[in-house]
Amino acid sequence: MYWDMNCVDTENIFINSLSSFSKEEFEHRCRRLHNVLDENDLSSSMSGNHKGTDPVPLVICPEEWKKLEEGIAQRARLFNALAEDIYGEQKLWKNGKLLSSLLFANPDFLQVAWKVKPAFGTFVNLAAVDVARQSDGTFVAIADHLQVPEGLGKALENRIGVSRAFPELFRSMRTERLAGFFKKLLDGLNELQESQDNHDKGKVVLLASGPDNARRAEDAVLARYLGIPLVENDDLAVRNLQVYMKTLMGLKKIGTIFRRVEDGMCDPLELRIDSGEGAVGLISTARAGNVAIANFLGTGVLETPLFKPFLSEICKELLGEELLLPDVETYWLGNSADAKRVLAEPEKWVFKKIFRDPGTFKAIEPKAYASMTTTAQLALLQTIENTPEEWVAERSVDIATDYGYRNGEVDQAIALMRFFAVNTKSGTSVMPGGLGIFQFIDKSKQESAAAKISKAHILEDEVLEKDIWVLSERPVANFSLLAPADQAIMPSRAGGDLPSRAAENLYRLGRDLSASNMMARIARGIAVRLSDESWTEMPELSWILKAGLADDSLSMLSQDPENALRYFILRKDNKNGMQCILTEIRDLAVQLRDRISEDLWLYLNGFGVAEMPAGAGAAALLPYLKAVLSDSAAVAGLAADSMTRGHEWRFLEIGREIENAIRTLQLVKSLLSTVPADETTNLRLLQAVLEIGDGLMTYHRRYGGRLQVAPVIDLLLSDESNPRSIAYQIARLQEETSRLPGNSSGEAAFSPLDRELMRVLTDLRLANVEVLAETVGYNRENLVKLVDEEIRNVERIAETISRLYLNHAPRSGVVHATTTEVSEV
Amino acid sequence: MPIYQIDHETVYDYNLPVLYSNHLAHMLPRQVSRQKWISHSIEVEPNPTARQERLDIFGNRVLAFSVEQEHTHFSFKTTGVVEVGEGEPPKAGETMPWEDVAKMILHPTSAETLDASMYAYASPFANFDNSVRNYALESFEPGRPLFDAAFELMTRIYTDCKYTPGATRIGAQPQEILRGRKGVCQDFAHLMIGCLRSLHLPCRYVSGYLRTHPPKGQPKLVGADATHAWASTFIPGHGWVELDPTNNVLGGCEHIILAWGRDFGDVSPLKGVITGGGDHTLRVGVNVDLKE
Repeated sequence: MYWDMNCVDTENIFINSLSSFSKEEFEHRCRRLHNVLDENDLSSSMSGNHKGTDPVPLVICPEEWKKLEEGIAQRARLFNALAEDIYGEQKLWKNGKLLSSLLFANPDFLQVAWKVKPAFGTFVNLAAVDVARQSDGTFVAIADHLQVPEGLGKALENRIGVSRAFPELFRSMRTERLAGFFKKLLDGLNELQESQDNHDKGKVVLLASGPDNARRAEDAVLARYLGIPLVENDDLAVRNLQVYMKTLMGLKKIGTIFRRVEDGMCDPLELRIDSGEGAVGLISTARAGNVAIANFLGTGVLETPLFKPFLSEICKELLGEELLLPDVETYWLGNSADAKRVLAEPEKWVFKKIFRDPGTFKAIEPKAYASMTTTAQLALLQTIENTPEEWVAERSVDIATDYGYRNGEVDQAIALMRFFAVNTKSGTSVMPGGLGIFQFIDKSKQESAAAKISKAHILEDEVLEKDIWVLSERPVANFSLLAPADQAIMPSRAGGDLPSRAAENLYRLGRDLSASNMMARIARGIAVRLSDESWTEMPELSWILKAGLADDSLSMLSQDPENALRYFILRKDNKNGMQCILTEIRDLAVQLRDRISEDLWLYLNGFGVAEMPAGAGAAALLPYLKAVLSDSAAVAGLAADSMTRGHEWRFLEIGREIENAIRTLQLVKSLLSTVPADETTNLRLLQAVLEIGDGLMTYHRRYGGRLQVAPVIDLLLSDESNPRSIAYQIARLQEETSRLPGNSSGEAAFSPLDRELMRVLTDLRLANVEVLAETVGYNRENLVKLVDEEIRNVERIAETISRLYLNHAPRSGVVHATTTEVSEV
Repeated sequence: MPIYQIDHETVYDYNLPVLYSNHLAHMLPRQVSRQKWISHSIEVEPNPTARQERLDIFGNRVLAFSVEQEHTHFSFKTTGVVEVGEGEPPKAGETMPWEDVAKMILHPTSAETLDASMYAYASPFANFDNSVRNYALESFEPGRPLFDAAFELMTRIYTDCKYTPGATRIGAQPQEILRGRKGVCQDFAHLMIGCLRSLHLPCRYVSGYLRTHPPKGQPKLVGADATHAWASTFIPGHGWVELDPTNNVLGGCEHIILAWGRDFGDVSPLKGVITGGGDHTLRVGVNVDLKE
């Protein structure tokens, strides 16, 4: 035994098995876990105060699970039946036992959902419940999540990490797999369409919250794992009581919406008019039975803690059963006898508002209460006494001690468990596993037993996560959604289903990649020269500075070029600087998370995130620029290697080519439009333009060491065998755009887009480089005329492509999405 | 009983084409005990693509429709003939004490009281705070019969507030109305509703029309030739009693009901979400003509 076990006595088999690891080996496993989680970057984005995932899972033994599973499943059925009554007959309310405020004072009661029948009567397709294990070994329900339950994606990620870190324990302990549950969830979403009249089967999509919603990262995880498209409100169109997804190939019918947005945000016509999410006309469509929505509209009403005091009664009434998994003891303070008792010892209770609070009110726990000043305590009690009907009080839960790993020790902690269940046509299934949320017990602070309870709401405090391992009595079958035992689990994603919004993001990503590449190459050209001691004697430098940093003040350029360069490369607040583009690349990657490969994601997510230059001097900037350029090369290579040649790839390429063409034209213009007085400067300029335009090697191979204007212009403008030339970019654009829907070259007539591209290509092919090289005075007028003309042409082509295919306002905001690569879960 | 012909026209003109639009209308006739629709018709231009009629939770007939062809002109016209009678008002001093009603509403024991309880709580446009409650309490002395107190409250709102078009925004909350003491029929209805709900009493928002009188000796009723709004409260053993704080009268044969809900937001006569359209001009014309 190499371990400092602060716990002397545990039934956690995982902990008891740890003695088979050396401490070094265990540390190594922990690093493996964190690597897996870091790659996915889910944890950091899910909640600002998340501190990671514990390597030690919560373990639930088979006998214990059997009872728990029944209880969780019953609650999922019960809340479904409750929703059915609330939006249907309301028979529970007609005998005077239940308060009318439970229905009609609740802002989450959705009037428009009244008497609307969901497919198969299922309101709650996915349910979650937070459960605590009490010191006496019994389980108690703390809170139910019945509208858009969160945490399923986190549970999946934690499972992937912990099971990969400890594969032998995972197998030998016979841990139940999660994949079967996800299959049931997916099957359930699919089957909802069976009740729709139309024979034409629609798609199952996940309607995600906006990109700046904290839940968005998890939405991407779920969409990827379930293999269904992630859509946003912009992707949806309602036409003639039917919901469609806008794609490049036109409108595609949607049959089921797995929604991750709140009730009130689903339809701006009938719900909140300011809702940015959802689709206009969705409610009418759902009413007509033309689209299934999971969870169904209106399920938010079920989440009030005001149901708790009545739930066991409701269970008898609706299901004719005893409530198996009881709630934490809860009283409605509108009942004066209860209020009196509770307020006599306020330090023992958790106070909650009964309904969603438009402000920022959080539950007041004993710990928080104890830390309040006497005046504040009195003020709170006064508030409660003034409006007792708006409050419930929950008894502090004495949570059983559990264990976690920190600083080389196994230490005591307390945990909450969130479990998930699905209701489908064929019944209710509970996920054998879940999301554990825990905190270490701080012994140094001598926490009292009363303070311990505040952990019942640790969701809001600084928390760590845990995987939950449910052990099986029998050997566990290997089954994964990614290696399906039977077919039709993972619908294939045809290229035509590319939502217009995703196409736009790929196009912008392509443009940004090219822009950052050109910026880094110009910056490198400057930095290399500045790091030479004799830089003041380099006449070409002022040209390059103007080419790259012209947006800055010219006086700063000449007086302190190094500072100007740093400002350009490093400053995040420089709107014309490189960091802005790099940030946008990373943001776009996040939005495209569900459409790009694992490796590409890794590079894009860390694009330009290299060690910042330390120390003064232009030379210090070079390693950073090198890192950006190698990220750029890696992404280009990975995209070429790993992306299938569908529309995804096409829009990325189109964006890159357009930006490359424009930037190269601008480079040629700024370095070659005027002729320096002396020949040395002229030669140095030619050298620089080749170097930045990445043509130096080719030039030397073809023409030897002699630099002349005409062949340089030819190489950069017209030479279609040079992949950096503008002609090459335009030829590639022609090739890719010809494959876009509605722009097929099979048509007899050329499309306007074809014509514009052909005009540019012909101009470049017919250009006489000798004529372009001619000078009038100090100016190459012919070259300037051609370059200006082509810049305008390419910009017009970009506009045409946007108008025809993209045409979506860019969405703002940052999200961090994630991955799922699944082995055994 | 008077018979009216009612013409109600809503016309939008846009300076750019609307690509498609979705609308919700609360203008289908609703039959109630004191009023009977003899005929009713609707004309929409351009022709709606999808059309769905349904009953909402308040019992109103709602028309949801979409227009999916490009248009720069949209009009929605209704024409109806309706016979309207008086309700029977409760007698002063004979209704239940208001506190007992509040208790019944919190613990409903019948479909009727459960339905009434729907209108007893804060809603998006009819919230309340302590100022509203204190204002209401001046009329609601302990044990006072509900009808007496409610009638007095209506009269106080009529006396305290000045009818001032344009003084308030659409959807001003009761406490704002109370502070400013001005507004239009919608605001006074919302204030009345907020007051009653602050005491846990049910009160609903009624949307409809008001008969116009030519100014001949008697004062002209405000709200003529436009849509009108008033309040209605539930009195157990009697039913719903309509109170019009804008005119200090009970709802009667000059109040023609279209729909009711918790507040204006539930029964807005015609609302829509449009895509495209640019700027628009709106014209609403209402005519209430006495036929016999």
